[in-house]
Amino acid sequence: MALSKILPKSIASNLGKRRLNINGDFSIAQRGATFNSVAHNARTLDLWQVYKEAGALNITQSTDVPLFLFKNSFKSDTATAVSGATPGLNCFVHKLEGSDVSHLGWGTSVAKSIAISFWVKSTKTGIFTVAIKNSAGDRAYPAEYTVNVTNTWEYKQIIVPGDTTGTWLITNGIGIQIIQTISVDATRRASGNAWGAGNIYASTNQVNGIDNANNNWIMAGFQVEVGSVATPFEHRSFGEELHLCKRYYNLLTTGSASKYMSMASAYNTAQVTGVIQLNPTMRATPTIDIVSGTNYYRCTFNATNFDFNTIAIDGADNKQVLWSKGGLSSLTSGSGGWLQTTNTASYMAFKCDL
Amino acid sequence: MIDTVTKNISVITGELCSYQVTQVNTNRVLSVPLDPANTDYQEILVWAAIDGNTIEDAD
Repeated sequence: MALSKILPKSIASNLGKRRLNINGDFSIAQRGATFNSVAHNARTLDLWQVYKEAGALNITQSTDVPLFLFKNSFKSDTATAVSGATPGLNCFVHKLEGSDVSHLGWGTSVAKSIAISFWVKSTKTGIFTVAIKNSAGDRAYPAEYTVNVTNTWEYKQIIVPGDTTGTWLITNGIGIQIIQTISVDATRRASGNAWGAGNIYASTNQVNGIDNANNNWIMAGFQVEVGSVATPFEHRSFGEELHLCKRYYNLLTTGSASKYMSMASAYNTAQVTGVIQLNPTMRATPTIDIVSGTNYYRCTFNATNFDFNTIAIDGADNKQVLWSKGGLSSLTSGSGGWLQTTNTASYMAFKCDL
Repeated sequence: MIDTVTKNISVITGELCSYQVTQVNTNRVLSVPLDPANTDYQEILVWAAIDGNTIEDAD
């Protein structure tokens, strides 16, 4: 008789795709790996946004990692310090798409807990906060953790009970915001480790992590999963992680003076069009993010080049983009050709960030 | 930060199809679709609601 082993339900539920968040190993940096004096609201490493309201921060994709467990980490280096216990807000935001967290049941009586785990290495010691918020920013859970030893990698685990009230989107909008706060003013603090109403970013015990220009704060192996137990970091292949990131930002070309981007046709004597298929399907209809420069882009028809500075969306959905460029002259209507870059500063991507 | 927003008219339909956005202190240009789920489109609506900001007609 064949024997089979059936795993207990508590173990089986943790098998397979456990990690809900994307780019938790910080391996994907389509926009670049270094962001000096990062702007407020800036998108940095894929799926990580910075809110910066005080001082100055340099963000990098770092190779400072714990115990050779990872290749990369997310590093914030304080470039301009702000003293005092309650400076302005500085935090790093990861947004989970609603359709990826619908099974948590948040906002209902059967809301499931989540476990958040990560490694952190901080110059500043004391209590920091991971804030969990909904899309509207009117429900928040400021979860505390403590950095015990300066400039030393420490592993942190946080269990967050599911929120049984509030509005939590299960659409292609923002489902859950998870925010690593390193500083915040007094008005956006609340008691730690409890659900409450309001646009809260930290507990009342949050330290000022930017009070010295020598401060660094580094995070690695960031994982969000269902349940009340944090399990080891789930590694995915670079290709899989990149593919997941491209749902939100899809870099087509950078740093090349001869990158072929699309077939093109002369719609009439003055206008060209072309179609770019998006792979994977993006979260929403994307923006074309393009660097404009004199004759940075070129269409070639019948061995004749037509150069221009930028292109525009003519029609699009989340699976394809019809681009166009007008204002040209002497095109032969109906000609076929291609779109390419002409300058190493040419840059084009599709974006539909959360 | 948004500097200017200009309407883009479709080559094919002749109707408004996207917005061309220039930004302060950068030569990065955004071509933004008319999709309420697009965060750049949402930012344009907020920007346009501020007194003094105007979406310009296409050239």
